Amino acid sequence: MIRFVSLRVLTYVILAFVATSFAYLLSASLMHPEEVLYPPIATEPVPAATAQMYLDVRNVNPDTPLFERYANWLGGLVRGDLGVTTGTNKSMVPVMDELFTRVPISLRLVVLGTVIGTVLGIVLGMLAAVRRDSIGDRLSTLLAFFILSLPTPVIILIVQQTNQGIMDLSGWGLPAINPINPLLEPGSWDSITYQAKALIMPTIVLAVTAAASYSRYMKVTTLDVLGSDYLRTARAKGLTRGRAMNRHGLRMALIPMGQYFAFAVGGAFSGSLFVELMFNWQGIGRFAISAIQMADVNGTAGVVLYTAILTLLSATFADILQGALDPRIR
Amino acid sequence: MSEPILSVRDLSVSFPSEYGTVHAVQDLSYEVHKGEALAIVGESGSGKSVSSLAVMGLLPRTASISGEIEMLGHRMFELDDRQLSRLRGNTISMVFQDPLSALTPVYRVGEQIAEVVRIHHPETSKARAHQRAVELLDAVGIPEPGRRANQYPHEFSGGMRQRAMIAMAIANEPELIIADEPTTALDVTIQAQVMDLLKSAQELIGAATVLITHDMGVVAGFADRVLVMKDSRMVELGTVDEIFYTPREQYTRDLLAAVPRVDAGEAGESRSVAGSAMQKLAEVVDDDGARPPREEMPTVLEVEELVRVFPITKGAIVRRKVGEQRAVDGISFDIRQGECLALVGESGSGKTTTLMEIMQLRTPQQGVIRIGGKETGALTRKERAALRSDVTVVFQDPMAALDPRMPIADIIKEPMRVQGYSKERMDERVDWLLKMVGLLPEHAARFPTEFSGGQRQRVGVARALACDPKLIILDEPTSALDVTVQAGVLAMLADLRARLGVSFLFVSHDLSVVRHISDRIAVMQKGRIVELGDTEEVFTNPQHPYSRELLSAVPIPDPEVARARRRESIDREAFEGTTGGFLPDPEDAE
Repeated sequence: MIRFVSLRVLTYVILAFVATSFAYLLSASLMHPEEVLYPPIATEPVPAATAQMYLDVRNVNPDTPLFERYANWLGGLVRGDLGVTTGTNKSMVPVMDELFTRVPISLRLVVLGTVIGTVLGIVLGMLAAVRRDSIGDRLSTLLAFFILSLPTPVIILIVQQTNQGIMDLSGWGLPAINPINPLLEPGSWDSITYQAKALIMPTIVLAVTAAASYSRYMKVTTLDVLGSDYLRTARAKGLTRGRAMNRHGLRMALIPMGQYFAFAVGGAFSGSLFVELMFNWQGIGRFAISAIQMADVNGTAGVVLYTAILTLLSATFADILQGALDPRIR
Repeated sequence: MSEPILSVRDLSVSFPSEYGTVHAVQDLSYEVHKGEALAIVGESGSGKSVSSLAVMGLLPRTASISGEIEMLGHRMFELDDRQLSRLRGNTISMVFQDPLSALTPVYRVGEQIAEVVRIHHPETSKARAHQRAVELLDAVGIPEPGRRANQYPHEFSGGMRQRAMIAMAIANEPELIIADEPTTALDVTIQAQVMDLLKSAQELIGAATVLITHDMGVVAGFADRVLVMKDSRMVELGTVDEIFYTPREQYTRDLLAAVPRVDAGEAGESRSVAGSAMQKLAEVVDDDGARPPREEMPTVLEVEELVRVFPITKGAIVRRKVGEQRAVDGISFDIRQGECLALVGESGSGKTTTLMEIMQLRTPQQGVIRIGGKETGALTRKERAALRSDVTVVFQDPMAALDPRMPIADIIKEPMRVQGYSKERMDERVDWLLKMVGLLPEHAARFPTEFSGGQRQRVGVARALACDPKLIILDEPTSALDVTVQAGVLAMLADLRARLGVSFLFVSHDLSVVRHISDRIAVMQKGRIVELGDTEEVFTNPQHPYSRELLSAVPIPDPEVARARRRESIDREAFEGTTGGFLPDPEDAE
């Protein structure tokens, strides 16, 4: 088991490295921060040496060969330094610092949304399969397809408008936007409850989209299990329908779900892009979009590194889960 | 006779389907008495499995059931799932067909056996239940039961899994064991062991048994009474001797007649009806009488010292070779024109690899394959394509081997089209080929799904014959077919050989099937041919111990002969275990 997991982790580290390198090379060769660094309204020409230093310190000098810049960036990566923001953002904030302030905001969204979504999806999918063709099955199938066919922004709007409607009627509702209330004292009870309340709507959006696709997968794998010989054996041993499903069926149905889980986190991340934009959260998703918009080479590569690590961590988790569930692949 | 423990009265089961209601079982009535072995025999679709699942209460919810099943005073249809589950595994237990899929792959075998004990005896401690599982595994003849109990099903061979299933079935000393095709997925030598084990297990715990099977040979050695089913209805019910020696119904007679027998040589001495149709087949084969001796016939296929080794690799990033599987390990044989060579062996013996090597028409890893005198390694691309029409193949599964979206005329034409036949010639040949294999030319426009399994296999043979091949490779051509259909297909093959002079390489796991059709037999074991000789010689005087073992394992459809061959194989001492008997449970100790 340890061997199996460590081999997988090693493969994933290599994969993460390749993905990030690819992202850096792409953004470094396609983005041109040097063109936006000097506003055309500059009154006096900047001395050449100053300009060179300006570009070098940001590691975006077009006179330096691409692979030398890549080597510089790799050197920084080894030291835990991802460079500074470039492009129109001239404040030179280290990308690492930027990530550290934003990751906790996004991560609670992504993790909560994925976990609630998968659990909900698994339960709903299994119930739909076991009670096949019942009203509950038909309703959940209809609802899942409805959600799957809507773009994420539309779902966000529906959730926000519902909240607004409730607020208009009853006078009580969840905070519409922003993860924190800057007017409240940080660390106070009010501030914490506000943060928790602000988390609810975005989490609902992510969980619902994840649950919709998950319940579909789970229904299919559960139907496979329901028709299997070993479940019939389990019932022939004297287990009732429910107990046979819980003891033998559930574990078998979860094995193929492990692989889907590995990709669910990636899906939740792209879902969180919209969520952060529309709920005005200053998270990684918003940072990623703005980094691309303002030709921030280091910032873009940093975001890709974060998502690569996130995806590969969840893949490793999925592998461990699968290894624990299925002795055949250990 | 004692009171019946199971009585089934007027049982009818039907399922809704796209094509209207399917009546799986109709008006079935039978009784099973204490300690008795009843065999329910029938071909596929006769409703034998459905009737047994009805007894267990395990039919899908869509089934509509009428009639009555009474088990030791319980009216089964009046019980709910909870009450039924108290009977299942405790009073009635079941052994299923495919031991590969019948055990949950993610639990240890010991756990699964212990589970059946703990379900019905929740007061048993985990450790005690595990100990009991080990005892049961020991009783059913699993070596090193303590270690094996901690293994997962995929680490068990097919025969061992079925032994574990039997251990599970007898764990709670049930009154009735239902065995649904318990040996169909197993090799013949393993089949013999498992049937012996099941019989002795049944005798040990004094349970009644219902054996569901399509194989008359298995029935002869096992059952006290036999119930023959056809098309969802009962045909005949009688004692095993009555059914085998004096069947009343024509269908029973046909069914028995189609059963191939290994002991056909001395058929005159047996009182059993079984095998008479196959005797006629033998006459067809022998009829062509005055053939020149085989040495004078031209050689069609020559295989010399053929070797095929598969490396076993390990490692995720760097693959390294850790061993090798010698699938085919230096075999040599030849086939002359008009000859039928049977390649017989159990699963994993290298039969299929040999076929693949021949069909590839390429240079083998080691050794030489010559077709019509030409070495396959020396062929040009063009010659190889032309040679494909000389060596054709008929596959095992007629359902999978025909494209369901092509009418059979196109299926048969395809090889001819590849070889560049003209349109008129193809149409002409399709008619002729269909007639040759016993189908009608009018069938040409139909699709494979409109045919039965036997007819589909005939289409497969017609396709193989399309371009006048010199050699047809028959890869288990009848093992997916019912026994009466099998007899028809075998007769057709024998007839084709006599009329067209085509050679056959007949691959089979079943010695009795090739008995009448083949001239010579090659017995394969672990990639080697252990015995190669004329069919009669191999059957009457097998030289190699493995051939003898294979022959003795084939069930004989004659109750008297079969009973004489049975051996004791359950370990009574191990079953009784350390506590001297089963779990001390006052309610169960009657």
